Amino acid sequence: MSLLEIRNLTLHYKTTKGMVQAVDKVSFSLNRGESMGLVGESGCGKTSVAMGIMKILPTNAVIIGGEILFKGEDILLKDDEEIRRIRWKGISMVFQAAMNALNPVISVGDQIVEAIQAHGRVSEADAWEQVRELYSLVGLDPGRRKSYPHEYSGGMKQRAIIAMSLACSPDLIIADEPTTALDVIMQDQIIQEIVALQDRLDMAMVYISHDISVIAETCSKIGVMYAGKIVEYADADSLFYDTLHPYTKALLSSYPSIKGEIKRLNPIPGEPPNLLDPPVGCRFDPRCPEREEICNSHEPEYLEVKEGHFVACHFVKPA
Amino acid sequence: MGIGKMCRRFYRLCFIFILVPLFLWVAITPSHGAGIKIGMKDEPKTLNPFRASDTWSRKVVTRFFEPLYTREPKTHKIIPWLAEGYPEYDEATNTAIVRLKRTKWEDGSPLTAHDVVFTGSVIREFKVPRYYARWRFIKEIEALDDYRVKFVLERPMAIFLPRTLMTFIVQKKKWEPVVTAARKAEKPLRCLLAHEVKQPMSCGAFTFVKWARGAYIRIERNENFFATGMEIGGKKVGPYVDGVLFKFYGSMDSAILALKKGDIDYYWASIQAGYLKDLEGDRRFKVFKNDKNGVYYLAFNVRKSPFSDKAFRQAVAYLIDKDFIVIRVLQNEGQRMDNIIPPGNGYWHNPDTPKFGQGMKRKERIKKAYEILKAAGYTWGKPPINAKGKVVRAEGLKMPDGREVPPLDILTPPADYDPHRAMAGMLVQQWLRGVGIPASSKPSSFGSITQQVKVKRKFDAFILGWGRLGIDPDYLRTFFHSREDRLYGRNPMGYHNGWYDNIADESAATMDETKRRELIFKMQKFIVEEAPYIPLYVPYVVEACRVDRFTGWNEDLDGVGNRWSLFFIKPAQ
Amino acid sequence: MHLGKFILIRATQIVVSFFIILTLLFVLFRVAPGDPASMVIDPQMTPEDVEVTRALFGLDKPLYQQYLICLKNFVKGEFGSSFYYGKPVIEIIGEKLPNTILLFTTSIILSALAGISWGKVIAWRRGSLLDSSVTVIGLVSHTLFLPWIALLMVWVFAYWMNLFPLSGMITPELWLNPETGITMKVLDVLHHMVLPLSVLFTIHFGGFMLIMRSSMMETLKEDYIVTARAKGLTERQIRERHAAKNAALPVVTTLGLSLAFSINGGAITETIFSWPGIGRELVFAVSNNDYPLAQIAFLLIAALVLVANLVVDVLYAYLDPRIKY
Repeated sequence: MSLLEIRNLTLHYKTTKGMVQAVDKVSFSLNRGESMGLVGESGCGKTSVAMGIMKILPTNAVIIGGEILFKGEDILLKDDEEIRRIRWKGISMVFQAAMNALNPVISVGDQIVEAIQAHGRVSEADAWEQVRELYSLVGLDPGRRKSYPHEYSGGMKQRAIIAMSLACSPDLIIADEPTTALDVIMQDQIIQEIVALQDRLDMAMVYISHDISVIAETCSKIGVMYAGKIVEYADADSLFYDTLHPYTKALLSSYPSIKGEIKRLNPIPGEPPNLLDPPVGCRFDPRCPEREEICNSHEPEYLEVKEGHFVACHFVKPA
Repeated sequence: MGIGKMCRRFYRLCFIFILVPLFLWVAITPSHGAGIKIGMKDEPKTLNPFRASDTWSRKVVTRFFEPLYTREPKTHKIIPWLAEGYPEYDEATNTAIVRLKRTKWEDGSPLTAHDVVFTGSVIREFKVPRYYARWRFIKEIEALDDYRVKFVLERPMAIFLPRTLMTFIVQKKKWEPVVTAARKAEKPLRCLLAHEVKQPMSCGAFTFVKWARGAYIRIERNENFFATGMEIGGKKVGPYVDGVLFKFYGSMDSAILALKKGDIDYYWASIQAGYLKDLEGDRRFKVFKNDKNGVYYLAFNVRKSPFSDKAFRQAVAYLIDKDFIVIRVLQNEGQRMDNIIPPGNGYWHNPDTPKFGQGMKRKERIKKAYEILKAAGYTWGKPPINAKGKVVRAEGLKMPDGREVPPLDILTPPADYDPHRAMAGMLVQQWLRGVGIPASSKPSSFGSITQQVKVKRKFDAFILGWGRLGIDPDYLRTFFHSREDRLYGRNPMGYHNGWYDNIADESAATMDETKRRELIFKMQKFIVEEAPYIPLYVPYVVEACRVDRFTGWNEDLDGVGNRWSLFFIKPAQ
Repeated sequence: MHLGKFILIRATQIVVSFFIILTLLFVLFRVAPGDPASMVIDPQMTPEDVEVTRALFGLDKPLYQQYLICLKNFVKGEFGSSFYYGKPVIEIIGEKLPNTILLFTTSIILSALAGISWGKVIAWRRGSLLDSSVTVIGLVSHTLFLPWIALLMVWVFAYWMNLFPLSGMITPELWLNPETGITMKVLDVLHHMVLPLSVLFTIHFGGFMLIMRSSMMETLKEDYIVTARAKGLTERQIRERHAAKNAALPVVTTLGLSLAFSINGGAITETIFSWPGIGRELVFAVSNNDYPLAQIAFLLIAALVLVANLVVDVLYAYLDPRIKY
């Protein structure tokens, strides 16, 4: 049984202008200890998927259909208290430090302590002891644990957030762009840290980023999202060396190669579609360099074309 | 922060607030403090009789301090009060002997000639404002024995009996230490006036019990009151009530509700017309309407033209429709005034004074004013009456010397202070414009009016009023005497007339009432004719009393709120 | 900068502002036309009496001398005597201020507490029927015309239903009875407080609630609320610990100043309920040019506002660790 299995998750946002079809029939699964990357441009729905898994979506989000099975049980069917118990203990999240993920008026340590205490009868002193350990684990000075978020640097904050996400030894960690706002060196350090920790603590991880090079470094499986859909899904090697979807190809060529080859970067022309009224056919159709008549009117099926390699494109058919 | 906890505490508090009234409802049975409950608009400022000048303080203080002479209800005839019989006056030496009744202070000690001498001396020595003027002409004051006082006057003064001898008397024993201390102070008068009277020594009908600041004043019947049982104006003096409880109501609304709810038996202030319907239909109440002892008037700066011209002033007088003001502005809760001394005064009021334009129609007034002004040499660019005898819009009014009549401001109190006067000002403005007088009504703050009128004395015209005129007509002299045309003087109009000054001085020195009355009558006729003032109206004093609880209210000038009512009223059975 | 130093600097500023305000008040009152002596319209007041009265108040001296005397007395701690009462100003204020604090300060505290807790709850349940109905109630409360609601409540609850006293602070008949115990007296005052307090509560509650609501709405958009939820905290913990604490910050400012201003009472409320507070005294003093009384009353308010500002600043630093002085 997979640790996490998502089937046909469809999620819309109610807005004054209409329904934004943010996530459309997304499916993937993840085993214990596995790490998976979710990559795509901003607004493609990857964060919505992450929030959906934890059921911390904004109030205007409507789940239209699908299942989110965590340890075989559908999260979407659980009541608030059951969900609350799963959060952090079962699935925790590494937020982006640049966002206001830490409450500015509560000391960082306190914020970790409250997470620990929310999931078990732990005395104050024991909880603080755990904070101390977590700080050491992520390479933070435990003496700073009673400081406030604004007293930390960006990197420290990010480490604290990672420490916080580990507080309840979760089975699954969702890392939502944890390094985006950091400088390159810090970014690299944090990524190494995350990879090492994940490995050491044997947790599953969903790593979300718009930066495919970062994903390549951290994840064994990669899902590429475009306009609310997963367009390609494969293990890292297949995805990089046997790229099938035109969007993935475009994405790869728009980033500097991690393998060090020097080539010209090609930004993808055009803009992602308006999800209030997405294209009828393939959602990438308007920007696709390989498009044909059929793309405009028919939605391509999401098929396993090779073992463990899924693609949704009219021109890639199972062998 | 514990907001949640505070919140719960808050709800608990609300709960208590709901329970308390329910509990009190059963518990409180207001029984104590029998007697009459009187509502007042404001709290007294002081119980010091030398200081008490606001109406509220006076209403309480005058319950404790009595004068040598007072006025009979309704007739306003002067009658001996603390004194025995009338003063024996010797014209040759200007000496008066006043004998005292055998009366007592509330502590049982006798009220003697020494108390009278002491009171007079204090007023003279400290120049106590508002009282000094009626004592300054007393050359000598001496106690011949315990019950006879000798006054030596500088000259015959008409106000000796009605003013000097009507001054309240204080107890020497109680006040001597205060006065001694005040003499040593840097500002003796200030020290005397600042003295806080905690427990007034009463010789009046009531004695002081308690003043709870902001809440009430309780006074009770003085068992030693000298006048109890005396017959005055055909009625026996009480008081028949055990005491009086004064309560304070900031707004007319709450006072009227308190009346209706039974929290008070009488509201000691004039009730506005709007509240009357409610009370008039209620059989528990009787609504009394009485003349107010006052006058509201339009006054001119007669130092400068065009108001220096008597013809101009009279023309203005013709233009003003006093009846219209009474009917429309006062809603009939008052009467027109054609005199400075109100008709309610009785004895001193001269009914035979000029009544400019009485009964005239709008067009007739304009015609009359036009004729007067034309005869006096005024000219128009376009007169108010055209060749066909029709009233038209007048323009370009010029004075006899050829100059244009300048824009004239009529100062009135603002509408929120006194809507009647503000409205009257607007009407006068329109009426004057009818003949081309460029008048405008200027509602101004009270301070601003007094500054312009009494201090700077630079103004065109103003509408103000006098209240609390008293019965003695001496004010008629001071309002128009040229001596009072000075800083803070009572003749800010700058009216000067030698004949009037002489006759006014003569009236002040005439101690014979009949002779003085003749002079006062002449003065009234003359001054209304001269029109430095145009008397406009005087509102009624409208009051409501619980006649089902108390009977015997004494209706009088200025309403039922007077000492006689408190002496005469009896609890109804 | 150290907090102690900060307070010291601010205290100095307060003293300086205080004397500037004193001067401004002095000038303002003297510039206003009319003086207390000449405003008395009494046929018995002779011009001499007016002069004597002016001298009594020290108004006969040139303005700059009056100002120096005023300053000198002020530094000595002498605040002068009311022209009208003749009593020391401090005594009058001492008589009236406790009544005002009892009613107005209590009302501010109660309405702030209620406003904060309700604002918090309805923002939490934004969009619900509860939210929209309570928001409408808050808006109505915020815009209500005070005299109207006060008179209405008096009429309904005090006159018509006879549940509460019409006005005043105590029942004289009860207090005059020597047998009345202290408990009854306290209950009597509370009984009198119910209506005016309810009116003031009604008037102030809406403002606090709306501020709290919008502040809370802003806070709820913050990422740390999502974090808190993701951490599996209970809704209550999120609302109280993470949202309300932050959202209450702007309300603290409003509350601090409202508390300071509450001591000037409210002339309208005090008039309608005949509440012997400082508000009516102040209006009376101003309209009768009773400079010393008006001056001190205004200064007291100014002082309280200045101090309240400082307290709010310090409190802010305490509540929000980001702020440092």
